[in-house]
Amino acid sequence: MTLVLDAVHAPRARAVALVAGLAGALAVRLGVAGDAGVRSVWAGAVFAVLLLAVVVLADRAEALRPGPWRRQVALGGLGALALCVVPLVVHLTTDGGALPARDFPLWALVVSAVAVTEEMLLRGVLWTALDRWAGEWVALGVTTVAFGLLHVPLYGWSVLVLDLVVGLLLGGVRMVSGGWGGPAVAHTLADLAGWWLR
Amino acid sequence: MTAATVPSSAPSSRPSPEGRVRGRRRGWVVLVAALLALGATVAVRPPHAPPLYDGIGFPDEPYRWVTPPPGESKAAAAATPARATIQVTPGSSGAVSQASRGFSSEQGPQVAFSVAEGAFAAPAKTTSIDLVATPKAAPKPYGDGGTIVSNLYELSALADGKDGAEVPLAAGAAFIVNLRAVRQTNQTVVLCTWDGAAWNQVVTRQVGTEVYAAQLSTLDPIALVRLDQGVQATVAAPEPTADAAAPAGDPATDPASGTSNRTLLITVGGIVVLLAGALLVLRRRTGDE
Repeated sequence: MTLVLDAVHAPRARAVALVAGLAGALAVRLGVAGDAGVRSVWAGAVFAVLLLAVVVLADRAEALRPGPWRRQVALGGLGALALCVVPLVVHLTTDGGALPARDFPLWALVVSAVAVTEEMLLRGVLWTALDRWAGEWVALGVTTVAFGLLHVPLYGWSVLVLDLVVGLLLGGVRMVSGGWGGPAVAHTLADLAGWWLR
Repeated sequence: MTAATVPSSAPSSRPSPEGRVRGRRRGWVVLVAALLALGATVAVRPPHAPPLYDGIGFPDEPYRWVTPPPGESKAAAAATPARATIQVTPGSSGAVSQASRGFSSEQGPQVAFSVAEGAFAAPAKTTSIDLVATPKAAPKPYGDGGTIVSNLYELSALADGKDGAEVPLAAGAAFIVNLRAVRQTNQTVVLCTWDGAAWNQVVTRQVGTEVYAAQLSTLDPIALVRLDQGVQATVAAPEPTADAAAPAGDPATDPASGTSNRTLLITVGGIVVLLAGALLVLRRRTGDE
């Protein structure tokens, strides 16, 4: 009986621990970034490493199981196209200039690492834990809100609505693709597209 | 043991093939809803810069000079103005201008401003005020003791966008402006207004690596001046308050935490991550797997 009760509550405890881990990693990122804010490469790299550590501690198997790869790539690509609507609108309505090309490799590496580890945590192990505990809709709701709030300390409250909507879209990709690989592909490609579409 | 670790009451731990199909159908519904919401969000409030759905911010592009000073190069793209159309509503004691903000289009913005409600002494029957910060070449070097490290930005506030219908700032108004300098420096940088004959320093606060903020009481043209080593600003350093802070929502210029706050964040965040990791390991050892 104790074992059964323990197991029933296990996904909830795991979900709570994962959210706490995400919040802690975010606090460390803010502290490391200091004046540089969101542009700190070091802070982004530290954040990605911490998220990866939390994910691996939670469920190594899930971390290595992004889902059927063809489905993940195809649906992730579609998700990225949808997300690129926003930078495309900005690109067409503003006078953008060229960013320094020498900064791109490191920037792209860290951006990709942050995006992938966020998805491993949010739409990977956290989604699975919430799904097992309370169902898919709760998983969608909690990960969407967590995704939106995650960006507020870095980008300000003005991004909350947009990021909630994007979180919902990435959750939809997770539901359709059946793994965290699709959201990771969509998230990473959309972030990288920002460099070229500005 | 398997039955104990994966209880049958769990909502969807192992969905059937039919359940997976239903789940995918729900996913498509969510996707369509999210796409519609995304379109509505962008239509209602277009972002002023390409968003990152998290990663690290974009690095600044090279400074766009209107007329580059010696030693600086001209960028391919032209410097852009920051604009805002401020709505004016009737109030009990006259027309009241609403709060607003504007950003130029560079990455990161070379000029940004934020105005509080009632910042302008709007004439009666005015419905809106067009506020623009336009980049220009600096009319004259700063002179001994300093170097101009930004474009000059002319500020204009026109009632209903009509030429000549200048609207002054209200007394004590909160009009905050941010300027980006050409590059980061350890020397003192002050925002100066140009009165047509001389540069006048304004109390300035650094709010980003090369972004400086000041609260203005007039709409005189402005530029940033880097003071030479050993030269002191003639205006007092501001108290560390929320005044003259960055316009909200600009990722490149969000106010920085102090050193003690940074240490606290790293310490508390690190402890939370460790505790979360310990809990996750404990769950695995007590049968979560």
